[in-house]
Amino acid sequence: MHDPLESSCRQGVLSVFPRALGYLFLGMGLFCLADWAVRTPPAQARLWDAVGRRVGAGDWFMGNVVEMRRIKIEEATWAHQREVILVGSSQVAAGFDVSRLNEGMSGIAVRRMSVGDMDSVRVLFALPYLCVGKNDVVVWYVSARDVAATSPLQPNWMRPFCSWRGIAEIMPLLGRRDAITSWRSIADLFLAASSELWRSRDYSRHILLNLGGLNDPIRSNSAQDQLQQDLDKTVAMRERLGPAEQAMLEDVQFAALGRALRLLAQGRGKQLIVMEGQLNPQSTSPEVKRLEARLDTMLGTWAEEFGFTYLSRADQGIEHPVSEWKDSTHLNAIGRSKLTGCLLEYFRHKPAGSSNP
Amino acid sequence: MLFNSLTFLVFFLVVLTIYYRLRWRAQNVLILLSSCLFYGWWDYRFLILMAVSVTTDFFTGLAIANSKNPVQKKWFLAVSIVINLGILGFFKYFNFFVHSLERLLDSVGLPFLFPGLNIVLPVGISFYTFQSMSYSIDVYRSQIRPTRRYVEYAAFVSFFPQLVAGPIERASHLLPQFQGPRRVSRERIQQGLWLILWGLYKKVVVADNLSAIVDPVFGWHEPLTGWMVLIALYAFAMQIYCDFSGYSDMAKGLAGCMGFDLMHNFRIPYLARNPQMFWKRWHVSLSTWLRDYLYISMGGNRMGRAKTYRNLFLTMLIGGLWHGAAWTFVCWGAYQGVLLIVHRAWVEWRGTALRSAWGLPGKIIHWVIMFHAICLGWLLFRADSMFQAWLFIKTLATDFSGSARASGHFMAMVLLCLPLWLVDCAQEKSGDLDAPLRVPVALKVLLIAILAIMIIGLGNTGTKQFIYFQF
Repeated sequence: MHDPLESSCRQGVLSVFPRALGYLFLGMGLFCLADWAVRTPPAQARLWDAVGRRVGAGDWFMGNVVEMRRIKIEEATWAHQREVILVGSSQVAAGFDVSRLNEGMSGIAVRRMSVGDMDSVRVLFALPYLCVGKNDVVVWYVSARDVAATSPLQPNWMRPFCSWRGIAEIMPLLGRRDAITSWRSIADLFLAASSELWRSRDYSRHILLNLGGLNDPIRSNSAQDQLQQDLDKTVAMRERLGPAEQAMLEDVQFAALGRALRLLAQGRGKQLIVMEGQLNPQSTSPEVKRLEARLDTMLGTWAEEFGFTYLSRADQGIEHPVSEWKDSTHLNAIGRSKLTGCLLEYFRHKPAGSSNP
Repeated sequence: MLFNSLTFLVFFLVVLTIYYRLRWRAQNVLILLSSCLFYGWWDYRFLILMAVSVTTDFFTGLAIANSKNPVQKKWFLAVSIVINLGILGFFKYFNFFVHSLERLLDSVGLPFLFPGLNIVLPVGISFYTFQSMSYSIDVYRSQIRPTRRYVEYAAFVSFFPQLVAGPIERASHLLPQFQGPRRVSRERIQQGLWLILWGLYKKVVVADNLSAIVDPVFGWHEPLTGWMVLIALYAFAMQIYCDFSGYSDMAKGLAGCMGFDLMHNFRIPYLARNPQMFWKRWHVSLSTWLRDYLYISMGGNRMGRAKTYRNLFLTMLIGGLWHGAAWTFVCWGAYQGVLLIVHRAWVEWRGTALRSAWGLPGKIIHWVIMFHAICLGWLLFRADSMFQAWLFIKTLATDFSGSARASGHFMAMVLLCLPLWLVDCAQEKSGDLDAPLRVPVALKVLLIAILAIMIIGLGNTGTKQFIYFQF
């Protein structure tokens, strides 16, 4: 007898597969259950603790991610008191001595929310993970490096900080061409926003592949290596870019910076303090100088518009000579001490707890 | 364009959507065009080579069939074989033979440097030249009638699901499927989707993750202990199996969704209890190709014991060389040849009485011995040089120290492979490779959900090339 389900290719797949949708929903239900289980605070705490125990000396990004995600888990249990939150890239980690700031801030806790390579687009993207409370004082250290032209979408960096809100914030900044050419990255981020299993997959794999402990120099195929590949691509991409493309990518960074500042300044006003960052004078080119000048102008304009506190280099009153730098972007111990001292000095005159610091 | 990439997913969905709306002859044209796009994605120049191979075999096939003169037939066949093997030999083996000759001359005190050629190995060249060549041979042997439609033949050779890593299909099986309307049944789509999911799990969860255990050991980055080498060997055995069979499963699944039936390339090979059984289960399309076109052509087992052994050895040696242009592959082939000879000699001497007498424990002992013999072969296959292979064997034999890291790797391997082993055992027990499709619905849904969770949560980020693409 002729099987009614037997059909030629010209009929669609679903017409010969009537129970497929039922199986699909059932399978998706089980998947969602597993994903929900991974999202629960106890599972998250265990996951990030396990990753934290396996962070090698060179895994700076993984270390930053673990720190941020752990804080995010703890956030729910906080009785939120006023804190000072330091936001920015690895320049913040190298430039501010958090324990000295905590000692000097008389009762107000200082917390660092910085991740290596967190440029302006990424700050905007990772805002939901920055755990900034309504009353917190936010100090954002921004240098020319944080607004330099770079690929706006790098999933290996963005995946662990992915959220629908973050995606909604950065999508309008991308041009149509960028959005089309980066469709794979966007699909990746959509998956990460939907599923915790996808969001933390690089780290679950890291645990699995290092169950018996870490062989520190070996990070074969780790999240760090994948990020490094992205960073290498960025460097290669910058070299290939024409002036017009470079200007366009820079504009994306500035647009993200403006948007992030607007969001952070809402209801916070002067409690958002933006410090103009510096780079090693030995490695600054005319291009960097141009970018620094643009950054200074834009921050000044936005400070007036959004009402935040802007500490330009002139306001800070400090310059870091070559001897205070570890490399082209990171301060050494002397530089860190000087910059930390500068911030402490600022808070001494305008305390963080006051309504108008 | 890799099966485990988003690009391929979009490509396949677009092709499939158009495909379902066409009649079968137009489907063939679509398959040919999409296969060219798929292959040209690596490098459009590769298409020229494939076109040469396809065109040669199409016309020599017709010439052989039309010729009444046996000598002339033989000449046409020779043209096909020379051109196919010429392309393969040049692109795959030229540098290997030149460097080997240089080393040989150097060792006898006649240093000489041949002008080097920067030859790029086209992806999957060994697969499609063998498939195309078998068509001419089958026509010559009058086992099939040649097709008179170029598009049909070109679509058969370039069929994108199996183009770059097999299975190496025979014209007698696949070509007729291009010569009429395809039918898609619920069973075939179910099987296709299952195989795609199963292949994806094998590739991105098992193979790609295990490579992170294997590569540091073979790259000299891990402290070398016997336990670590043993775990790396086990891991490589699973990695290569899952990488290659994962590809074959996906190929079969994708073809199934298009209404084609490809052969099963793997039949639970690691549950084999002797070398002969292993080669009936591992890379079936290649082993049967070598058997039909090489071993039997050399006389097979019809010319006495010594020549049978010689034929076995030579067949496996060439099979080893097929895998890659390196001495480690030649040694691996020779080792497999020796295993087959020893097994054959043993069976001829003692028969199978011993195993039958021992029952299940006998089967288990045979399986354990065979699995470790295969793993030893994989050591030759994976090693960068014979020196590394020798050092690893020495370490295995002399250093029994363990480490927490090696034990952790073992645990990780068990966790990653658990669904694979369970399904393999179920398939072996039922003697049915589609056994997972016949389990109760609740179990099926549970299995699919577990695979999806593993693929999403533990799959390798980024797309890692399939190992067999380099062959």
